[in-house]
Amino acid sequence: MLWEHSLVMIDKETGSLWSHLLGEAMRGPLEGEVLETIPSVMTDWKSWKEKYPQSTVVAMTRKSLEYTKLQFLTPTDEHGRALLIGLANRETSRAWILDELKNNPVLNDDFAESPLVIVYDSQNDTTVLHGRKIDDQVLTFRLEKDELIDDQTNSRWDLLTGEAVSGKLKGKTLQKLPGIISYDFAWKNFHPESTYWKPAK
Amino acid sequence: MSLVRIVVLSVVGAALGLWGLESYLHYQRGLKMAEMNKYWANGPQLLSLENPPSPDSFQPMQVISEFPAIEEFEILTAENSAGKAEVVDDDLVLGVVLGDEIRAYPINMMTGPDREIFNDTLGGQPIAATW
Repeated sequence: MLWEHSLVMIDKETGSLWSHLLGEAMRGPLEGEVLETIPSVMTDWKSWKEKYPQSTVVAMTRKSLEYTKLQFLTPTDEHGRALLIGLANRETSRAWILDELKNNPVLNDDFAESPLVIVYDSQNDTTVLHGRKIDDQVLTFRLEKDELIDDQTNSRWDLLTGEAVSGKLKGKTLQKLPGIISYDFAWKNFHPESTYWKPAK
Repeated sequence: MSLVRIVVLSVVGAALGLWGLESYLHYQRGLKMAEMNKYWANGPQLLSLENPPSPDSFQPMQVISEFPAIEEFEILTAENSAGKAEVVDDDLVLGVVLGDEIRAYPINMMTGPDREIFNDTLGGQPIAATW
């Protein structure tokens, strides 16, 4: 089933119909319930296993020869569809266009009164959202020679895992946030109230 | 001679049969497309600020039949995946860290109409991975 060109999921226990992008039951016994979004990172398998050598991987037959790193090197395609990373709760939502992050690879921003940092890693075209609060201290990040550094303690952080690799905060890990990679038109449809980060002119 | 004739006839018959089947499927697809076009022309009000996504605006359309839930699938360690044809270095994955478990879900494996969602348990938590 499709709704607004987007998948409708069905649970076999109650037969409720769920919006794929919203994670919300739109019809059936569970109508109105919202699934929790689990933080995930979209990256290539090589980059992921380098950072997480203990990772496991699903290995079923391939369904497509696409969905490789190459395909996402141009986040805005020939049809003008732009990829973005978005965050949403039931009240509000905010999104960042991936193309615009290339020139702004580290953004200190806020969502629903929570400080966060959006990190775009040009080495593997990976965008990650991290919370930027450690033990009640809000950190402000900058990129220096491809390294993520916070202004408050000058600790150095891994871009993908959000773990401090050296400095005063070594061993601490930033909270991963449940960002969703989506096309801009789909996001706009399902989150008409969304705000968007825009680069300063 | 007659054997040749039978073989030729069978081949022609099979070709006609396939052509017939193909035409029939094409016809069916045409009906489906016409139905979909009608649906989009008169039907659902597009979502907007005035018509935000909610159970009231929910107008799903059945385009293909339901597929059974996927609850069992092969899982490899990063080490064991090396050299396997299923997973290659450039594959885009959704990487998840949950509790003490870490797993990557290759996006290409969740893009078939019959395979969109993996029902899994990671770090003791039931999750659905989907793209």
